[in-house]
Amino acid sequence: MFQQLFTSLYQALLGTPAPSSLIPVYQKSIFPGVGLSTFFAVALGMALVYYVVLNRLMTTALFKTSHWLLFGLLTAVVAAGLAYSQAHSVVAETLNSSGVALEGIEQSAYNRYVLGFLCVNALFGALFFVFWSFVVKSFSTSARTTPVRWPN
Amino acid sequence: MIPVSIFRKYALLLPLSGLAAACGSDATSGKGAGKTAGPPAVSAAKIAQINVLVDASGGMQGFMHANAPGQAGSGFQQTVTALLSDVNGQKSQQAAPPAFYFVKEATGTDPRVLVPATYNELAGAVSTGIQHPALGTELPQMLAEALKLHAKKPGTVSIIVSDFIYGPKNPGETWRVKTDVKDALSTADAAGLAVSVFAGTSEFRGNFYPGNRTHSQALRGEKLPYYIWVVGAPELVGRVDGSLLKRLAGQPQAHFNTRFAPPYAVLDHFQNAGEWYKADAGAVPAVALTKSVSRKEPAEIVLGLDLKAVPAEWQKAAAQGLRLDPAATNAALLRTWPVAQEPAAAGKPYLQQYTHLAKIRVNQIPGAGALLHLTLPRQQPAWVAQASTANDSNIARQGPKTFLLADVLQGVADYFADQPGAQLSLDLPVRVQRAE
Repeated sequence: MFQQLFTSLYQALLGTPAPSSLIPVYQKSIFPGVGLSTFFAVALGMALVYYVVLNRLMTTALFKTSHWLLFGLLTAVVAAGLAYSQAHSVVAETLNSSGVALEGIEQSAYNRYVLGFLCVNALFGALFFVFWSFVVKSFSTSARTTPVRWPN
Repeated sequence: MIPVSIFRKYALLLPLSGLAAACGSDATSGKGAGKTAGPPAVSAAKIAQINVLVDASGGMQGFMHANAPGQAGSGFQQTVTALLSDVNGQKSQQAAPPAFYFVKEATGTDPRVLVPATYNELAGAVSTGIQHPALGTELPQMLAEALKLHAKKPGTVSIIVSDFIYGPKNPGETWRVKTDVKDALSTADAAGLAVSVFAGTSEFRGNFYPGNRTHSQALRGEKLPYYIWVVGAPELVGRVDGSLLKRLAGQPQAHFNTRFAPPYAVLDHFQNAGEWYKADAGAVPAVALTKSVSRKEPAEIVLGLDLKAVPAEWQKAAAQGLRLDPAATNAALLRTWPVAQEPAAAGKPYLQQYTHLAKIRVNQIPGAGALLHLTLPRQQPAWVAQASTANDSNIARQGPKTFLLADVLQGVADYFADQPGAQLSLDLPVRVQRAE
């Protein structure tokens, strides 16, 4: 289910993975793995840090919308880094186990696709952060109305 | 201090985080999915028992002569002793211990053709000679008796050691030797049987009894041919050929319906073109084509074949002789070439583990998937005609030849004539399907 969901999410923006020999690796491992960890670990984690840790358990001055935007940006950066490192390590592991190395056209296709992948995941990370913000903001005390009053 | 009420609020998040953890571990375990790239699994059929049948007739005595201290023994003695020892050494790996038999003529007092023996008796006879050489049994009868054991115990593989000289009792009937051999095999179903023939020559000291039933000739160390036949189910014979008879790999051989399963795989990072990937689809290597594969963007797929374990003659033939059965697709075999001639293979272990490469082009996605077959058509082994003679009266003059060997093997070939599988030396399927 997650495999299908994240595969179609990423491929809608990125197209089929390239080089095509890595399609199963992306579809079975990288897309669901990166998608799930971006959604839960990165986006939800950042939302919890912002709303609960910084604006409830601690009393900081980081309740403004500009701070929230900054956290959204931070989420995007972390998501991009995660996408790159995950894709890189999973692909390297797969190639090592079959004893091959990417060369020429395959290598450049791989570079291009990974670049696109980390951009798309940055976007998804930011979107997921927005989503979790609305779920989590009611747990906050000082940032209940950041970035908007709704739904509180 | 954190008030307790907070925990109550966050309790809502706990199931979510649990879900995240569960899904996360699921996703990481999927990492290994891409690396199941090994050769196709060998069929699970097991060898039930190995029977070794050694011809104990007087005509074989010359191969199994006694040796003076320090003498090396005949080629026959060395080869067969090593074979017997290997078979006996494998007894713990098989379902049943191997059975050993002497083959002799059925007589009024002892109607048995196959006389059960122990490993020691058989090995002793080979190294020092047969104590009471019997009259030779007819070749068709020997085959029929061996097949009776197969019928009793499916999964049996027989290794038959003999000079395989078959002279019909009535010398006027030599023209029907091939039919006799075919009839002898016909007790078994041709689809489930295979015969591999390994030829060897050995010095012969003793009386040679010609197949055309003329006077015997005393030989003193001239080379004469003997044969080791492996009879059984096609894949089991292929496995025995590749293991127990590995020592004879370099010798002249003929295979009938024997199923060799050389390792082969799709190489997804070598000269690949078009959008496709290696799919895990069980025992047969599979390729999944994406939607973009078309006449304009054909998929080019290179297969690696490891033919080290198939007969040397086939290895030589493979570079020129491999064919592709496109199975109603328009797949085409673009090129086959040995890895040794591939300049890019240097320093690439993933290519060096194969001996041959074959490049296939597919420019159309088969709707429901198709099973392509990379095949090597069977060729008549050239040595058979040279090792065959129609008159072995003066064998010392002729050199190592066997009476009507070509007819005997023609009879075997006739028996398998209706088997499509027997017309192919190698048959390596590759599945082509649409990407999910």
